[in-house]
Amino acid sequence: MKNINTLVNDQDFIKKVQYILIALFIILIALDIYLALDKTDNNTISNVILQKTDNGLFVLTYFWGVIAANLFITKKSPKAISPLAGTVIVLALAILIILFNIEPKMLTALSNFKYNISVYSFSMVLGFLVGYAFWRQKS
Amino acid sequence: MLSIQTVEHIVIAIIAFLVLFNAYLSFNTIKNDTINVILKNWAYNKYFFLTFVWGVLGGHFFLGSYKPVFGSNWWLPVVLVIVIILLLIVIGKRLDRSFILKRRYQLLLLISGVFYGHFFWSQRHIPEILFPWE
Repeated sequence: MKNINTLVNDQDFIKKVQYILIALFIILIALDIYLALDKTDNNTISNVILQKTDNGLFVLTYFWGVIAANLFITKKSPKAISPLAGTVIVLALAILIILFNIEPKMLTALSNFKYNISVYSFSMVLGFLVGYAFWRQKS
Repeated sequence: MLSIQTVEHIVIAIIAFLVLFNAYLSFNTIKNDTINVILKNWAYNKYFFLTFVWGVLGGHFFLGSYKPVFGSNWWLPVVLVIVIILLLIVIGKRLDRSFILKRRYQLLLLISGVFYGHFFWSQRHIPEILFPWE
């Protein structure tokens, strides 16, 4: 493990990372507007993600929940487990979801419901709870 | 003209870039420079519109009601979400640098975003759907 004392607080470097993130947001928005207006139908980022999820990315929605808890819900008390252990748990659960082929099973189980509860609402909530339990940041 | 497959590759490339870049940032010697920390600091300070946007995108991409609230005015939810986000940015910009938006309001923003994406700005709207209670 790295010695925590060797870490430095470099605001200039953080600024650069911020600019990279902002540039990426702007590129994504511009690209999506271009895709919405061009002549090929259904090729916007939203549509691509929608088709991907309908074909089996339960895991993507799980990560939506995990990241939501990580970014937006901080933890005031000291961490119960180490960040590394938390990351391992989060990734292990994602692999388990793939190994046990949860999505088709959920789709079959929920197909009898009359009001069509989205399978992805379960994975989003599951991801949020896992993120809340194991992968939050200090406030 | 970009085909659906090209867009898929672009999306996958961006996600891969973010994961690798974040791994690099977390293992270098500068602290508090990972994407997670930067976005958390933004969301808790002036740019809490990020929390709302994350919720809206979740509801928009992964959930989505079938019945359009605004009927055939498909453009209305798009314009409305832009207005709401600009409003949140303007409010945030006026706040002090030391301002911190509490955790419970973050949760509220996230949930209201999901509801907006699900009910108002859904990708799964079917114009002529009848519900059992109609």
